Amino acid sequence: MTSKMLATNEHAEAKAEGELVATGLVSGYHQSPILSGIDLRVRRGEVLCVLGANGAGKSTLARTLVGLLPLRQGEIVLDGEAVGHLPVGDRVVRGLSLVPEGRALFPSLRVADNLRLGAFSRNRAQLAAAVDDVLDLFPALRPRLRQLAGTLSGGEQQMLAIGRALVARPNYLVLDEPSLGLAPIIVDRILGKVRELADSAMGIVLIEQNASLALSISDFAVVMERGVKVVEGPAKDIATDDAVVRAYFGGVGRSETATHSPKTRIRESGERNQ
Amino acid sequence: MLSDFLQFTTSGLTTGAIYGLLALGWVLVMRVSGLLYFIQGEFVVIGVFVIVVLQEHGWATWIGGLAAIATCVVLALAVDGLVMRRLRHPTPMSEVLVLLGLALLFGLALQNIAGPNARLMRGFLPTKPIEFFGAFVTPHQILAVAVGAVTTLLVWVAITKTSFGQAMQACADNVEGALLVGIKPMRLRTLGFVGAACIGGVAAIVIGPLAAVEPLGGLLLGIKGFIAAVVAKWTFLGAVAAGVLIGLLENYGAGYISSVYKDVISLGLLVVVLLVQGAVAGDSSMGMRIRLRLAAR
Amino acid sequence: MSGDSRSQAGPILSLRSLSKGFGGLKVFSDVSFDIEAGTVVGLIGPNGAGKSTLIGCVSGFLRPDSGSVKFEGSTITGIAPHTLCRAGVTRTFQHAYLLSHLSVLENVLVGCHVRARCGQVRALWRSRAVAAEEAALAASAMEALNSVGCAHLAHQKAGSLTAGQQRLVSVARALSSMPRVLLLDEPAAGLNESETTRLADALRSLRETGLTLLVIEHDIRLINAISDHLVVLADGGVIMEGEPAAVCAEPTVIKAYLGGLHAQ
Repeated sequence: MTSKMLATNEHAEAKAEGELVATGLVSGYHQSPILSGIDLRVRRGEVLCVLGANGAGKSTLARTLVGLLPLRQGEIVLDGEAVGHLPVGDRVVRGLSLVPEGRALFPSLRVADNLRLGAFSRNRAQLAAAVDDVLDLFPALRPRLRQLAGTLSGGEQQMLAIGRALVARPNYLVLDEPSLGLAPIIVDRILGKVRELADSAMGIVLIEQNASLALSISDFAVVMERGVKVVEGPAKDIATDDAVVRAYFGGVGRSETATHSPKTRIRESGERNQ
Repeated sequence: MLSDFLQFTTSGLTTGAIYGLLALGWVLVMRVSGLLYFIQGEFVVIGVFVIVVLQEHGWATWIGGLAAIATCVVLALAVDGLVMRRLRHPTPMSEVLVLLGLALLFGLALQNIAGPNARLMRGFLPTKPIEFFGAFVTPHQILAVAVGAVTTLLVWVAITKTSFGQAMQACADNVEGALLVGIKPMRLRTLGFVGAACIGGVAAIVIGPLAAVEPLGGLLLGIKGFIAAVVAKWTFLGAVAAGVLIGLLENYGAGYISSVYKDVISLGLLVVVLLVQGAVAGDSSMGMRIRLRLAAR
Repeated sequence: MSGDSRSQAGPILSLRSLSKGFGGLKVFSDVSFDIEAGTVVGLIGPNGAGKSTLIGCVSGFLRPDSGSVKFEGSTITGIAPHTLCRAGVTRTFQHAYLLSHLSVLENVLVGCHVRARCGQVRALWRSRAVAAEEAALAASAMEALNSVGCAHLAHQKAGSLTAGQQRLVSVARALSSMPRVLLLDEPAAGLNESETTRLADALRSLRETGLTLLVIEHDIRLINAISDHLVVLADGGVIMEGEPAAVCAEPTVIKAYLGGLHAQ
């Protein structure tokens, strides 16, 4: 199979640089396949953003990568190792983490325990330091450590879900709509942290509805529609390609600032390299 | 008067300790797999028979005890691996029917192998009863209560202090979240079954010298544990307390009213509790049913 | 509910000194503001400030510890949500709470149920009046779905929709009860830019029909596009309210909520 050849031929290169390669993914629910053969590649130190309308299959892609959905066809290679048929737990141990759209928290456990469980199978030695980092990123969680996770507000739960994945200090992190329900100031902080994590050699797959914001911190981007890729390329190119933006996001590209409200123009022209 | 009451109380506590152990097994299995473990009582009966048979062939009781526990563990793993995990479209109803059926099957098979008579284990502690205030208590009875207490403590520590316990709680809350942090629900499930089997074997060791056990008696024993678990809404410590309560009620009933009513009392309690509670598998906030919709790994 | 004073001059919804806490935790206290009929008010603020809790107090799902809520001049504090729904105050939730085994259209029809005139006994008979009413309600349910751009999903099973689509359907369901005041809890979460624009258009045209809206949202573009008035809830109370442009330029609001990139 081609995917196996890919793995062995590029094995040495992949292992040295560290990348997550998915080829020809087919998966879905019940009979209908949602993903119809999609390829993806993200290197450590890179942010790949996955965009597309509701129903395009972005969440299905995220769940397939981590193993919550079985792979019907195709392969996933993590740092040179084929993991497409491994259970979720084995992929987590190898450094792949997902923050799912539904958050998947433990509502009857305390915030502190939710965070601690993030290191259940990985990074136990550095647990305290990792938790501290998360609390620095989300100070709103600090006074709530002994609160039951189910009693947090929506945005606080989102912060906790992201924090829990970060505690494992993964090598590859898939974020499914991390900005959902979060105040703009927190979104800025998260996206800033995402860039920071990527710069410290984490490979990040960022699924976001807010295309302009996501593109501004990403290196590469992929646009999905009905389970396949329709556009891909460097994030900067996609962000400034009016045809693409108009077709898939319905918004406006960077070049056309006249029709924007002042705030959005400033938001988009703010360079990400802060 | 007082001596009667004390006598019934000691018997009640002893019986209650056994029921408490059974209830522990039920709650443990429910928490890791969502199953109603009707074969919990079979472990006790089969365990007793294993020890008795070995005793009859001259083996020491402690070897019999270990063999009993080992037999129960093998049985539990076989039931899970060969039967429960292989059910094609498991529904709560079909799972109940399968486990009930297995309980009956084990009882009948045992009856076929070892004959229909009840067996009493040979005691391993001095049999001289100790008197207090006109009532008598034997060392075996004290052992039963002590073992019950110690086992409960060990299980409680395992649930609250170890990562197994946290993982179990996480699974009950949100299976997807548990998977995403690397917990393997299937492994937890296996550990839970092994634990329940060990508890069953231990219960066999302490009940053996106290009361003769029939091959078909496992189902009723198991159901007493089930009743305790339901009354306690599937909490560990509550189930043990409920088991003790049932044991006491049975013995007071048998002592003050008539021994005929022994089982009626506990089964009647189940009916009352179900009418009041309206549910068997706990309230929704505990999220008892763990349903894994992934392809089997 | 005494339906007396329907004063044209007064606000349609009026909050006075509302306070709410859970256990020992005080969420907000002494919150007061008015909402004029036919306007869109945006409720923004940091996570955990109590925006959803506030909506819960206004819509009858929660009982405030103190304070009052007045709807068209009559006090509605503590009245049950279903009664309020019948009176014209409806809310949506962050979670869509759709019935996953029913179709999308059937879910929206559930919202129409408050408007059904035919009683349950008559419905058993399935008389012509019942059939006519059901057809009318189905038509208005389709209209509601159309207005949020989900008409094409009408016959799909609700459980198969994405989270963003489910939220839109829950907005349609709320609309189908023909409310006078609609409280929306983060309707645009999970929508991309084109879908958000469509939602903004839908909400704007709803305002044209006289509907009053109170919208919790974090999408600043959406809030600015549709709101006549912004209320900022933070640190246990209202820290600012006013015109969107002014509020977003306010330094305290930027510091607490908007962050640097959104500053004017």
